[in-house]
Amino acid sequence: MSVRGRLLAILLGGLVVAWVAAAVALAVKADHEIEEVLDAQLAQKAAILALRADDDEEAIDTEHAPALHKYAKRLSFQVWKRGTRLVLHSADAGGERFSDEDSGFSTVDSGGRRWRVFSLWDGERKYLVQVRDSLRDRDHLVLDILAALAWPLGVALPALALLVWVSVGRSLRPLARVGEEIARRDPAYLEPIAGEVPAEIGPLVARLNALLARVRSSLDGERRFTSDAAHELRTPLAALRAQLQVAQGAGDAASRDRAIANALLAGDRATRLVEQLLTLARVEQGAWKAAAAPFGLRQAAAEAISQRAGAAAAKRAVVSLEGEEPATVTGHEGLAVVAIGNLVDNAIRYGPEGGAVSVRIERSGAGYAVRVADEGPGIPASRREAALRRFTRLEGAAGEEGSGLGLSIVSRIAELHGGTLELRDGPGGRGLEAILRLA
Amino acid sequence: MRVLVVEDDALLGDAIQAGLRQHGFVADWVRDGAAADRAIGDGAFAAVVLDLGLPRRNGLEVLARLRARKDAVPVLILTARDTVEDRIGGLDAGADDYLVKPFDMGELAARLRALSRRAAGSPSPALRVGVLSLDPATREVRWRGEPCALSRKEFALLHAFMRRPGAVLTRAQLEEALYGWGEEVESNAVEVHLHHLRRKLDPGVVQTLRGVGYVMPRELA
Repeated sequence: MSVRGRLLAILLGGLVVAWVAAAVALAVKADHEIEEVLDAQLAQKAAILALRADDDEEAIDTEHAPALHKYAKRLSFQVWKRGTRLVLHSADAGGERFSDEDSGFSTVDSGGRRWRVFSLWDGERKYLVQVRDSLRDRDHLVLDILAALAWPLGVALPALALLVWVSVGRSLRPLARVGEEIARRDPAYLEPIAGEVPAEIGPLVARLNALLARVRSSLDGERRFTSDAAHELRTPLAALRAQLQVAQGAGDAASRDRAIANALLAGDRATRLVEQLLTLARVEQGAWKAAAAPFGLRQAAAEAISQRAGAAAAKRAVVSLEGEEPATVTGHEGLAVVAIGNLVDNAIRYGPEGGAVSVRIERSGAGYAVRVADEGPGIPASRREAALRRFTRLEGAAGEEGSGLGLSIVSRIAELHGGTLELRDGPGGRGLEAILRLA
Repeated sequence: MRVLVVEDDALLGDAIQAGLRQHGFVADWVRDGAAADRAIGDGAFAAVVLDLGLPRRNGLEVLARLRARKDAVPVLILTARDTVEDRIGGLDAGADDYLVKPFDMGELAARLRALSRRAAGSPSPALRVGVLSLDPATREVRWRGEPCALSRKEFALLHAFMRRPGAVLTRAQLEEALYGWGEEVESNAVEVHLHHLRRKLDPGVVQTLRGVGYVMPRELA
């Protein structure tokens, strides 16, 4: 139901109810007042007649009382001598006594109508005066009053309806304008909604603008990332192409073979970069899709290490796993395996031939930490923060060319778990130790 | 013609160096901005191939510093950034040319030749001194219209003289033009190659100023 329709129903319904209540109250009151006034009139008339009958019987008009007012005609009277002989009456009084009562008010049915009768003896109890009027006429009076109340309602109701319709429409126009502005928008156009809006929809527009700002900044981040990723891919592709051209132009077999081997390496680099990009995309998706659940960190670390068994063997690295078991944390086990795997991968990659890679699980605050230490060259303290950013490749990484994404993926996974990734000197100041804390 | 390649990626840097050598350049390669700064300071290069995303000092900074030193060496930016803004930014920072990765090795070589030609103030791709002409692109040398077959080193030596006819070049300068870093400089190599040049072309093509250096006359007839 529209706001306009609802307002209209409430306002008009309320008005009608109020009006009817007022009319009912008025009718009851008017009925009562009219009864009092007309009863008094009856009594007064009877008293006058009684006085006159006493004074001079003959002087009283026997035919009819003058019709001085339209309501005067309603009143009929009878004067009974000794209560038995009708000596005087109004034109419409008939020959029957109005009421058997001979004193005070009474209500009688006669001739198919209800009458109000007042009976009064004169001072010497010689004449009985009875005056009556029709109760139906009294009801008409009340109805007249109610009718007078009804017509303004008949006029006011449509007028009010029109007023509500128009004014609500006008008040809601800014809402419609905002709606149209949003409808017209290109999905990529995320500027805030501008212009004056009424105070009532101000908070709505403000929240909407805040949402737009958040969407814009996250989209900007995505765009920047996509563009960075595309540019990062260009370097290994350029190397691949250039090495192949070198192979084409090589004058001897040895330099040709060397260039082709390098081209293969460049191809591997591009492949690895694409794989890491896909991992990052899956990290974001995985965190959205699956619900967090408790899992054993120790088990996840074992899984990650066994996935790297081939790489470790190729470099004769000795990978060890020790510490708490099962070390249950809440989160996404698949992502934890990716994170620990990346750390182990780095440790093997940058560690020396035949070096040790130690993975330890231990308590840390309310959760657990995975500490991965290697015997490689480490990362200088000044470069550690940069190392966590996307596409940072550290200089002097002894011939190893990473994708520049590994640590940023781990960092993102930590973030998704409300945890942290810290880099520090390895045990005894040698190598690098990466500490992944998960709650 | 000796060029400096500044590229942090090992595989790409290696390929550019090897490719440029195949195209007859003497190419040296450094992998970070600070090393690039030092190498360019030597003043031995006819052109610089500069990557922008470098460790230690980024490419634009290297460029800004060398231009601040009033070094006019032609610089070709080689980068993955391909937006118009990036190109404008690079050229306005003092670069002479801009090439986006991935690129063709032949195009890179041609652009470097064009840069060095323009730096020498010569509108034509072929250098000409009197009856002697040298085309760096085709590596063709003609004496009185007759083609002459020269070795790589002989060609490089002749190229160095023809870029600056009338200028005295020292033996050290000539050695720099002939050899990259790490290449063994044979003693009296310059004299040996000069001897071959004089024999193949004309005895008067390069004159020796004893104790000073060597000079190619502005007019050869």
